[in-house]
Amino acid sequence: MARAQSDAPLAAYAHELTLCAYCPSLCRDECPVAEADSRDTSTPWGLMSLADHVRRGAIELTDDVADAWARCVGCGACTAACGHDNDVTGVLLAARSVAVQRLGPPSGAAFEPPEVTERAGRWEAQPKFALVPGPEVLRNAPAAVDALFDLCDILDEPSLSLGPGVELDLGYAAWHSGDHAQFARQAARVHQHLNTASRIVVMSAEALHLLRNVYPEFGLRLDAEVMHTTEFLVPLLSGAVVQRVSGRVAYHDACHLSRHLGVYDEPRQLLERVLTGRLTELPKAGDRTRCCGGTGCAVNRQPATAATMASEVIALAVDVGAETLVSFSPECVVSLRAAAGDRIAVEHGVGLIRQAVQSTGSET
Amino acid sequence: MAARLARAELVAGLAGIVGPEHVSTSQADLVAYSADFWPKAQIWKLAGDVQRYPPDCVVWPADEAEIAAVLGFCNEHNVPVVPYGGGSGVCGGTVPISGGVTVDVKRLNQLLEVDDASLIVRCQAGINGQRFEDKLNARGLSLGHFPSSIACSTLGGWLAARSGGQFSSKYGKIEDMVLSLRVVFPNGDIRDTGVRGPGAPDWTQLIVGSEGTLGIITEASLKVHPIPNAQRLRGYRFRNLHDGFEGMRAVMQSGLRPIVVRLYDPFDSMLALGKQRKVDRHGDEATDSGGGAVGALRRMLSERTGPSDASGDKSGGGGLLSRLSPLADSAKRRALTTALRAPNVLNRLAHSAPSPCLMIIGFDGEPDGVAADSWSAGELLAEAGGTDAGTGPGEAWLKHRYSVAFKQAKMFEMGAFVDTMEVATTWDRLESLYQAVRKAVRPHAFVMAHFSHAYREGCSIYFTFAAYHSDPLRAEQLYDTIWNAASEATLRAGATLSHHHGVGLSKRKHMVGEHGAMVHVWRALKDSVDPRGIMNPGKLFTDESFADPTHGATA
Amino acid sequence: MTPPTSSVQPIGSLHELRQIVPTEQIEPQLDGEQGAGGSWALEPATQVELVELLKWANRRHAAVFTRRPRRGDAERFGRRPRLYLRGRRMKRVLDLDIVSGTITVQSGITMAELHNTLDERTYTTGFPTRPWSQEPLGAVLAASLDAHWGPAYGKMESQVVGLGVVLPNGTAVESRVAPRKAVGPDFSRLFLGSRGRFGIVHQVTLRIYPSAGRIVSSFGAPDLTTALAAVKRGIERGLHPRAIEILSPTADRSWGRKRVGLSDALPLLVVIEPWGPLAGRPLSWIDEQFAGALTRLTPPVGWSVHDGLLPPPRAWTAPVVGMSWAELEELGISLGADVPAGLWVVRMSRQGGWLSISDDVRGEVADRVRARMQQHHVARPTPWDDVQERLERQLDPKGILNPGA
Repeated sequence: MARAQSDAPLAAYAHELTLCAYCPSLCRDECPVAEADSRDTSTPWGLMSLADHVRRGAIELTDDVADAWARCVGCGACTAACGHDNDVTGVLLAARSVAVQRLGPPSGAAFEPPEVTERAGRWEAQPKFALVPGPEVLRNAPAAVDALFDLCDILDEPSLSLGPGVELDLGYAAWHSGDHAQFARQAARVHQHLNTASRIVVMSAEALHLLRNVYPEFGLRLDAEVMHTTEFLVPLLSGAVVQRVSGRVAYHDACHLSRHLGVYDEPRQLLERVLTGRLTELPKAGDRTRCCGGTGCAVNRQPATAATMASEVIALAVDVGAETLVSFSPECVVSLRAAAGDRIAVEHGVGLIRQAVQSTGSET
Repeated sequence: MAARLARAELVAGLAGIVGPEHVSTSQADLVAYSADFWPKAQIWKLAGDVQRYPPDCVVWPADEAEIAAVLGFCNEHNVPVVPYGGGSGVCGGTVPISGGVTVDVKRLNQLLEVDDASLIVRCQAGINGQRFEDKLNARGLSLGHFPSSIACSTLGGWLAARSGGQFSSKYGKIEDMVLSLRVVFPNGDIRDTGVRGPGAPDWTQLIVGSEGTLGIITEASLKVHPIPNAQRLRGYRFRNLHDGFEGMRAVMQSGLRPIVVRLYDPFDSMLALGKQRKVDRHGDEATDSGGGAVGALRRMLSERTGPSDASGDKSGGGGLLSRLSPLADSAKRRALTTALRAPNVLNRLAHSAPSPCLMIIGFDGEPDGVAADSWSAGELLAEAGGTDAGTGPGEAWLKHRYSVAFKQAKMFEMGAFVDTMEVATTWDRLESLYQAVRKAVRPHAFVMAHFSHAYREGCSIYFTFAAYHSDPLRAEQLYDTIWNAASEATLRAGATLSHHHGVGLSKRKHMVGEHGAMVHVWRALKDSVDPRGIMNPGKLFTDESFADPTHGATA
Repeated sequence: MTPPTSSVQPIGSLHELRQIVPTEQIEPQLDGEQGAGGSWALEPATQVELVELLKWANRRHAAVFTRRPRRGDAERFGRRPRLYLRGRRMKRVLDLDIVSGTITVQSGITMAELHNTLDERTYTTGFPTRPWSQEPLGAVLAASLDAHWGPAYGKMESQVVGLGVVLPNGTAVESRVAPRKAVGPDFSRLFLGSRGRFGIVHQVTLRIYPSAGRIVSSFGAPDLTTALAAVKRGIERGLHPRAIEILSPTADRSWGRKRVGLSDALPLLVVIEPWGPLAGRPLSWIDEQFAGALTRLTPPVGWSVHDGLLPPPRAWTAPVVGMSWAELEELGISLGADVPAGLWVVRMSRQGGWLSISDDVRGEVADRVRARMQQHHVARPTPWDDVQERLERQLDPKGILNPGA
């Protein structure tokens, strides 16, 4: 058999790759991508095997191998199910990075951020308390930003504000695709803008993951306290008068928020605070949450697969009898909403809280 | 057979049926679909041969009609077809040894109908096993089928290979659960086995187990059960295997219906008892007398690694990371590979350890019934010489029951290989079967066993063997030697070669020994529905199985 | 008119047959002289004799039947020799394996003989015996006479763990006995229910069960819906009996009805036959489960519901169809408080049961039942006919075995 030279950068992951390549795919049912696109190639076993073969020089690193690696959305469900806690997401990210170095960056439209206009007067040239909504919010769910600022108004939090950095792409797509040179450039720009703030509230779970976990890896640690919307809202809401919202509501954990950042409790605390009934848990929740395809660039790179993934999560919610499915990740909300049709209502958590607090405000 | 279509024509033809996005000839896909989890294919992979038998292309049809059209097209052009579910088989059943088209049915993954009143569901064949169970659970139901591969196998694969789950003693194997099937034959005909006219055989049972050699199963009607309100597992210790057998048999023939009864041989018992067992003198002696090699093997194989158990609790993996340090690994690897070079000695050492045999028995259902049944079983087991080992072993098993397969990767990582063989026979032959297979394998590989899947009239023995050879080519030969020795011993002992893994490529050359003249019936069946021999050629039976030259292979 | 004698039969064939089966086991048939081929009833005793007979039949292009001769056979098969095989000499018990709980017998043994043999050792096959007590086991299996679907024993077919068959070309095949297998399809199923089209079953290995004394609990129910609901609840609570039946007496059995304790208010009888002390639950438990919904009846000891309330099974000519539980429930709803006489739901499991209604019962309510049963009628040709025909051609290219079945 003709053997290409084995791949040195992947050699560092020999242990992880071997564990997956010789495992009978025991996380198969947890992988939302492979389940949605029905391809064994897309499973953690399939992708890691390809990487192992490339590492050992058994196959060439070609475009279609790189394309396969790009199918992983990085949700981390496989690692949660793995008996070895194997870091599949991390290894595949490294594999994509090798592919970019070897084959060039993947094709795909660069993100063009929308124009951000001042919202509710909350705009400062150099905010000390900055809101980073994340690109998806600005593009597809700007109402969540309005709702958050409304809440700030009602609950007497005057300083949270948008600023000149907010329209910047935080570099998620470049990072996820393995184009780390591009990502580093992008991240440096963002860092420069945000580093003037002392506190930062991030709405996007992807963005929060980048700022908290990835930027520091690239030497771009922020001095500011970086928190998620939910972490910001918990203390703010504690003293608020709320008129609880009725209806059977289920919560969808965003992969980045739950598995990558460990933010499980705050969203639940918030929802329990504003609901009349108990919050309904999906059968896949917490660190076993199922990715809805809102992340990992799936919507752009593999739209049909992403739509199926979202539909699967909707089905979970419908099966437990929920009338409303709530997420605090704008990417998830957009993805789930597109798939929900009239089966179930999908809300951003901030919007739901806004409802509860608003009605109170109007009555008291 | 006529000359094959050029690949471009094949792909164009298939794309016309399923759409171009659902046909692939990409290298990534061809590599992924070139083998299943047959350990021999893993040995090829260890040697760097990662795509010995790639398909010409892979298709993902959306529905039964597309499958029928794909089969019709392939039949017309004499193109081999390999039906594909989860690819989790361990016998090479989906390895495309003749190339052709691999038809992955996983897009047919819908639970079509739930008849709550009759406890019957209708489901498409491509559904993932765990997802299927999850969907049933959401409706308060359960199939009762829990194969170790549940996370990575499909309903269609279960049916094609007569899969057995861990609770088969009560719920049966998949062939006991299925009421009817829909199947697409190579000529494109779609048939429902539920329509059984007078004077017709039960076609369901003639299709179940055909491993894709007759047609493609597209959906099935199955019996389901309400999720039981109570489940209770308990361990018992027996002085020796014989007493354990007698206990198992007494329980199964009393009319009690445990979900599971498992009896481990002495070495397997040490692993199964693991940390749950009090550190008693037997355990200590075992490790001491076994020396470093047995100790290493025991540590290696007994690592409890908690995968996707229903509770989501992963506490079992706690000590794992510390054990996985590269240093520890290399030491372990040396100890193990050295030991595996002398399997005879290793077997003697491991089995000379005086260890009790552990049995796990469990019941489910209504709490009062479970309590009554557990008590009755306890009486029968005590009579057979069993002593109660409490709930610990049973619960530990339940928690880690899917984790055994995680160990395989680690063995392969060390360059060793491991395989399992699940044979079955009636009670009267069980003990001699156990001895015969062990004796046959002992010179070639380390071997241990447990007895699971007990029924009224007999039981299955699940042998695990591990072996090592530094030269990949010799490793493959060693693998074949082990299987030949074990298979011949099994057949001589009057047992069947497979209880639930199926035949595929790994056991096909022993099928004449298994079935005798019954191969003529298979040939007739095959020629009746697949005269051109396009369906999964070379599987189940080798072409040499048939003396009649006019019945030669067509693919 | 010439009296029919053996001298009229073709001597060559008879001579050859005598080489295979002892002369006294060959009986010339009355219609043999009409064609030139000859017609004999034979009683082979072993697999070897069967093999040789079929090989002979292939050489002579004879027709071999596993049924009784019929009028018209002579015309239909013209010059072909005809052999009618009888199983009377194939009744041996080959192996009674108490350890594994199996019995291996020759297929000519009648159900009554088989059960007598087992009774002596306190075992049973779990098959319902009475309707076919004089039929050979092979015939019962080949005709799949019950398509059994009971909770304790499953289908009759699934109680067969091994089969010895002679194929039409004279090849003897035998399946390996094991509790469960995964070595290809269960080929032996081809010969169960297919009425001897594909081969002659000469040897059968069956599961056997310890025979507990027959204890039957009887309850009265006001209507089908109530009866079904009670049975469903019982099964859900863990009841795993040998048999569950729901039936209403035919009109001519009013005396029996009264003796059992049924009345106009309680027209339906629910029969629960538990499995014995360990499996299933004790009688008191069953009483407890059913007493709430149904009324406990106390039929006389030894009372046979089939003889006392329904025409004897052998006289039961009405079709019996399998119905899912949902369909039975729908039937219950459609009947409401009406319960037709002669209704019979047997071999019930949680998935459904087998429904029939006596032919003698007339009236609109009975017709409603029949209309539902009609929906289950499998129309000819069935979807499998062509496959079966191809298979028959493969296994029996010369059309030797049971031609024209």
